[in-house]
Amino acid sequence: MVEFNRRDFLRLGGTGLALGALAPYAPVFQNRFMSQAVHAASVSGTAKRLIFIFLRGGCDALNTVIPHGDTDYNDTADSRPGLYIAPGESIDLNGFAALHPKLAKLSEVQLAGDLCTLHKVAMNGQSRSHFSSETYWENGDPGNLDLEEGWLNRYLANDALLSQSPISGASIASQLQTMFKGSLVVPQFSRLQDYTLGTSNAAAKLIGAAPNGDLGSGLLGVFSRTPDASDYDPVLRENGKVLGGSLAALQTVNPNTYVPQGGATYPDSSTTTEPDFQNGTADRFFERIKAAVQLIKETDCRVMGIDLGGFDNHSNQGRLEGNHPRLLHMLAHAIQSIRRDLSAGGSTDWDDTLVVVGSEFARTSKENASDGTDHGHAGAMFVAGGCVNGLGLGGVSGVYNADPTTWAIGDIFQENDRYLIMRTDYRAIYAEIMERHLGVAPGDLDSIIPGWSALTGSEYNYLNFLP
Amino acid sequence: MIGSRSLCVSSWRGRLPAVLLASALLTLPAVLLTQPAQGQTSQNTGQTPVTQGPIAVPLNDPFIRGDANVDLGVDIADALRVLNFLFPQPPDVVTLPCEDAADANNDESINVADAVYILSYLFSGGAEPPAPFPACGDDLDIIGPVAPALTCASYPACFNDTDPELVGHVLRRVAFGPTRALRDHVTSVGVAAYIDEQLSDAVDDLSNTRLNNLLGDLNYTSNLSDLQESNIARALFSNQQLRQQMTDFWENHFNTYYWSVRGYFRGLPGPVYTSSESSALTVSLEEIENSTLRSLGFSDFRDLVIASATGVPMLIYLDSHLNIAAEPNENYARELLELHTMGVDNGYTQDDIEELSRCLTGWTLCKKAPGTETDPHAPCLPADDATGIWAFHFDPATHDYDAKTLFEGTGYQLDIPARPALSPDGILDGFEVIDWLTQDSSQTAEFISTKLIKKFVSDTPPPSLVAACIATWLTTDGDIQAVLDVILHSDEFLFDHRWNLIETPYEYCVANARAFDEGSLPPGDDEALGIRIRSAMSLTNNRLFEWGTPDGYPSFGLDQLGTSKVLERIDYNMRIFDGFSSDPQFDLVAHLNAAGVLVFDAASIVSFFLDSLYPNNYTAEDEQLALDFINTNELGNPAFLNWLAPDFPDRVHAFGVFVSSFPQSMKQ
Repeated sequence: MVEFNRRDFLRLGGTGLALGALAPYAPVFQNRFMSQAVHAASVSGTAKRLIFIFLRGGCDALNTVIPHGDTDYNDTADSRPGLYIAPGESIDLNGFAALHPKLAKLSEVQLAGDLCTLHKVAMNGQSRSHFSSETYWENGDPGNLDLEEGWLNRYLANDALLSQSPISGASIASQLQTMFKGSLVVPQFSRLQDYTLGTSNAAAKLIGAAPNGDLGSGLLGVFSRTPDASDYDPVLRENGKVLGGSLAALQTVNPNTYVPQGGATYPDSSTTTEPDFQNGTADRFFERIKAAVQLIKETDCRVMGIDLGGFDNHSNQGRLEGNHPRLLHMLAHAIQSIRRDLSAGGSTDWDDTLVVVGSEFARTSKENASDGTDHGHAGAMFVAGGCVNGLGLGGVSGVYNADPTTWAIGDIFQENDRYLIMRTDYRAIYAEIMERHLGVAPGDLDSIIPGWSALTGSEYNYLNFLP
Repeated sequence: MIGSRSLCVSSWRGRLPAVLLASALLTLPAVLLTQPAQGQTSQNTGQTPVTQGPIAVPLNDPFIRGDANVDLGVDIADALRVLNFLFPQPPDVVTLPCEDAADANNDESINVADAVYILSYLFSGGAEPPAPFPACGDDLDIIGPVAPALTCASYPACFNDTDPELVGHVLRRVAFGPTRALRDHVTSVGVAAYIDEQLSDAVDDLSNTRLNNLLGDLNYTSNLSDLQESNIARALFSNQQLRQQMTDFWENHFNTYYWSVRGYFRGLPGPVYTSSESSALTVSLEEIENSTLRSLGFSDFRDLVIASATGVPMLIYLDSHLNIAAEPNENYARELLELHTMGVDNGYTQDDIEELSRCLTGWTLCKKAPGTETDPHAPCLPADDATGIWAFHFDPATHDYDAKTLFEGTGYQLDIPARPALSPDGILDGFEVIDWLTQDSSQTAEFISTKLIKKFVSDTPPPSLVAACIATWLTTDGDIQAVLDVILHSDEFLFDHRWNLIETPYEYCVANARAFDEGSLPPGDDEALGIRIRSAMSLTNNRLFEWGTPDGYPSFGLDQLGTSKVLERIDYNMRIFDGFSSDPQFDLVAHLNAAGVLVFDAASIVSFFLDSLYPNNYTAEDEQLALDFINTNELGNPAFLNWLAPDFPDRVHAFGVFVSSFPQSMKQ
């Protein structure tokens, strides 16, 4: 990690306005650069956090949260001769729906009342293209492919305080996720331990933070000059500045010395004995989960995004073992460990955290001839946290949209004769999270979810998984 | 100048006249067709030539007479441009950017005679247009003899053919960035000639010892890393830069995933292949895909799609081999429409995906006897037959022979007839759909043209250029060379959109190495450079054949950004210019010496780097920051650069890292 000298940043804050090179950007530059200190002092310890885990490829919801209450699912010959999971093999939630056995580690979370299971979530006019569906899930504006701006970016950008921090959000992914694209540049990294240019004086000078160097020198100076008129110049320069600011904010966050608490583990394929985790996908996923937990514990980062890919199982999906089950195991292990780690030692971090899991669409209710499933419609989500309406709280089971009052027999084929029909629009989930978890005023929801207040219909009703 | 356009002129003469002449004749009033073309040359305004002094007129752009559409060449399209200007088909509005250029017979008026003059010159042995022709030049009429009535408002192509900024721009996009030698070459021949040289394969790598030595050291038909590095090597050193650009473009467009393909072979019961055999086999098949896409880089789009569809990696990757009549697997059909041809949600429905899946049933793979591997109807050998070669196979037993209807109820409904059961003609279902998709579908023409324009010109493609590409596509049945020709000679590409694309990490790494290669990379370090770039690609997830989803790795605009994307680029610069022992060791002092830079003068070093990296695209502020950087030590204390001091090389290398990490470096 580069030796950023906090004194220099303070100095920069005091003199930035005097520097011609910085003048046009001085307010942003100064604030976002300084904000680790500014921000920590200005918010209370109850800041709400969000980790969004995006299951890329279209997760097969029917073999994730299994609707045994829909007898059409149980008609194995007709729907899923090879992929069918029997009630005795799965983990019952509410007498109607059950978890895939590879989600067993979620039981600990569920039984504590910390897990909500949401089913039949989708959007109207599903395109069944990965590309466009992922875009809509992330930009919050179905049908608008041109909007390269994420709903979480708008949340951060609209918040007067969070928009000033260089690390209020983090896209912990190999690419900047669309959910974080937008006017506010949000840090993005694949591996926290690689998010550094080293500790040498040469690196510090390169960035513009040499111990005795002029403020506004080095690359920070170059990136901070007035953008030119070409398409990407402003955003490119802002990326450079946020890079500098986030490197500074993360200088003391060392993933190599991090010790998980409360029995949490973030397995590594080279040492784990669990066959499901002996692969590169698991390594990257757990590393990123660990980074998110560490950011929650050690920084003021509020909103984090993580991907888990590999759900596009057109063939060889796997029933109890295999591609899809292996990924479910990773997911359950991750959520279990996040909860353990954030609640260990009486910490209230878990009470302030929401882990949200979604996928661009689910899959065909019938399996195909290749032991796989094709692109479908409505799917399942998980929402976990210390303050959700889970099992036993408010007299609910923690299962939403998967019981006899919300699900008629045959619903798994109600859409086009091949897909599970939707009951709730994904934006209703977003809106409930924004309003009840992150504290966005109802009147401000339109600025995060375009056109929200004008949407009418029961699919936009809150499910009330949050108090 | 016209000589350098020989490719375009000759190929367009050969390819287009039948179609375009027909449309020209439709536009031309019948009476004019009977007039002898020769007679037009002497027809003018009837004014008496007068000798007079210079006439005060606005200074006009230089131009080429006859080149009405200002694309640096005189061909039939210019005659059409004049005719379409004179007789527009509403609602079209046709303009002449440079009236003087359209005035082919130099009579200072635009009329049908100009079009006839051009046609006569091109096809009937008529006289060539008066000067300026065939090279760019000024309109001599400005100083007489005929009072100029016309102007040339815009002919940027002539103006800047060897302008350093234009040369740099073209080399950042057509090539993988400038080298000094290449910049000198293009500066001498002009960018139009360079583009044609690249598009026509006028250069090759037969005597490119540097590239061939490097490729010779790589086992790229059996080792994945070596296959990846072989592509990096070509990007770095091949003379056929545009061909490698297109190879990468098509590889990404028709992405296949090495690990899926390898998993298929590894999983064959027996097992047939050990782990290492599965790897080597898969690399050999991906290499066939790679070299096929390279050889087809400028070909008909139909050939590219068929090569991809019948390539062994794709047959496995998108489950074609599992797509059978009893239960179709729609994976490949969906991506063929969404990603490879029409574009997402662009003129097809879920029903069409299902119908196309049925058309493609029976398209599978198996081992074939050597010599029969190109025949999809040749019998299969068992998977464990040691002599067999994995190849495309059509299996009548799993093909759906019933009739299919695609795009039902649209203006482009496709009816695929039922065929006799088990007939080998079942394979034609798929070919018929692919023919339509690749040659006739305006959606495909639009989608692929737009994607090419996004690669070369702008993430917000100019509608005029998209329209020109679609028109070319539809008249040439999807000839990629013709479409590229339109794009790369367009004003939109050459002049209107500079520094407005974000380089992919791959382009970035290659370009920065090329920029400093001259005289600075010791012989023997080429392989280390390839390894370093491959390893940078693994950070950014851009390694060839290792992107897991069929959309290919992100290659446009904001997808290239992200704070760690900036950091990884800087980190790469640190490694190649100031790196560790295992990295390539660029000697930037040698680079300065080779370029004849006055190394005792810090300002000269600064401006040399800035001018060669960012011609006309840096500010005085940038320059001052660069000077400050080079004139301070590692602690940031002022310390003037001293070319005799021991820290001079370190200082220069640290400066190299700094200056090559400017925001400009991440753009094209």
